[in-house]
Amino acid sequence: MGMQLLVNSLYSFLMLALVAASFFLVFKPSKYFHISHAAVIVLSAYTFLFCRTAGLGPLFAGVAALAAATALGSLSELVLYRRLSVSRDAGIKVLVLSLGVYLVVQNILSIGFGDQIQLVDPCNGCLRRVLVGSSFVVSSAQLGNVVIAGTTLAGLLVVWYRTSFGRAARSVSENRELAGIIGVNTNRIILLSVALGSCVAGIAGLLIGFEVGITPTAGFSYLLFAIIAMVIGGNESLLGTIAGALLLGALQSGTAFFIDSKWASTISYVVLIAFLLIRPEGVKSLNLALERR
Amino acid sequence: MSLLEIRKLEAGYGSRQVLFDAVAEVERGQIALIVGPNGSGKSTLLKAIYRQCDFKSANEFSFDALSIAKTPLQRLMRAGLAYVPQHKNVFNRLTGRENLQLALVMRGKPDVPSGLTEQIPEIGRILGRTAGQLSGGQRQLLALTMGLIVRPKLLLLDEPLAGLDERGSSTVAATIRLHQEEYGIAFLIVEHRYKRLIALADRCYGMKLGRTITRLDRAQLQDAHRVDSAMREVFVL
Repeated sequence: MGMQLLVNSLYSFLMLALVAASFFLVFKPSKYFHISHAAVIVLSAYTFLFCRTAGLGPLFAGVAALAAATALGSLSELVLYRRLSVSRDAGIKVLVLSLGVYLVVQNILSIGFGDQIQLVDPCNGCLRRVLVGSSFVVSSAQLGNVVIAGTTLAGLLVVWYRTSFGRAARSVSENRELAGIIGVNTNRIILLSVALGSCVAGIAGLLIGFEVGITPTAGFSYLLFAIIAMVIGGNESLLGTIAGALLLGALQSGTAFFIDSKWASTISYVVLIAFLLIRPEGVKSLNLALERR
Repeated sequence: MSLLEIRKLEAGYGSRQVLFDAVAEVERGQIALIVGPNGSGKSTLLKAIYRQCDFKSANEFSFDALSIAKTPLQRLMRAGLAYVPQHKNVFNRLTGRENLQLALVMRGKPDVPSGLTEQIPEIGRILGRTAGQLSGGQRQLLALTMGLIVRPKLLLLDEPLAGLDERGSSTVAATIRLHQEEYGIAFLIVEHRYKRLIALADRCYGMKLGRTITRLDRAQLQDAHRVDSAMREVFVL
């Protein structure tokens, strides 16, 4: 029983961490609440589905899916949000505009693909195999997702904390004005970070589609979980956000295991409210300790 | 031609004009000081030079023969202009080394030079620590080093001694002098505690209500009575 809970928690954590990290990359440097990130998540899965239905190979479909997600996020930033960013009350304007982009994409997907759950199958049922261990059960989709999500997260951490782009993006996230003063091209860094975050969201959308299937509105609940993970993690660092996803993943798996999976979302939102009211700075000590590494 | 030439500069923030008749001139490798009471427009003058506020007009406003009003900031930076603001002048979530690397990479320069800790010994204790963990003095020194390490022709410093004790102030003053002599860096420094830096200065401007009202050259700065009377004019209402 304990082993199964551990496996479930690891899986939930990695999927939540992937979505939360993707949203963090988009939100922190730009400081805008991109609701349309929920559309980016599902667009990749539907693009994959479309390409496969059209008879294209899984590799091509995967590349097209990630390209579509990256393009939607980047073009929204470049063509829409950036124009508003210099205007008065830019935050609320971008929020409303982003909601509009989300609804447009979601409606197009609903009209094109319907509202029912659609499983994204890259290899004719190969992901539906069930592997039974001595004390746990896991599907091949979950196993594949763990490997892909883990590798993507590790790569993201390296990019964020060990490259000059990551340094520049962290500087823009903390103090955009000072970053400009020392010569960082802040608009370019924001665009690159949004593109990277959207690409990672595309990967997350594909993995969700592989395992539980996708609907045009599915991205929104994942986005809300990502925000809860960011709040728990202190809303300051990528490591803190991933740590927040770890706690939320364990909480959701524990709830599903010991109570009922129907309660997992409700308890997650209760935790969000509790953190915002009692500890709005999140688990700061954990966050800082991780950053000091 | 001087490295920096400003005559009758008017600038501000949107419709709020702060500078009405600002004047400054800095020669290559020299140190110029700007003093004045709160609200006199000292910091705004530095921001105007670094294109951080709105230019209105000027009879002359140039850095290294480039018109500041017509030249993009990136181009001015490449020409050798750098600026260290008074507040929030380091990235608290980055280590000291990362702060310096960021300043260097953005100017197309290689990694932190190995001889840095010999020139500024105190920086050695800062490099590996997150800037948010540092004391105010250490943060100030890190910010100054970020400006110096790119070897600009002119470094604009806004209140570099703010919040520093006597020892910290001496370190900052010695570091400024070292880099002026060794690398020929010119400085335009806004400082409340002008007495600490006046010995370094080749020139000093006094500002009041957005106007430059007095100018003292090196010979005049040696004369304590002359300095006192000029400062009374600047600071007394």
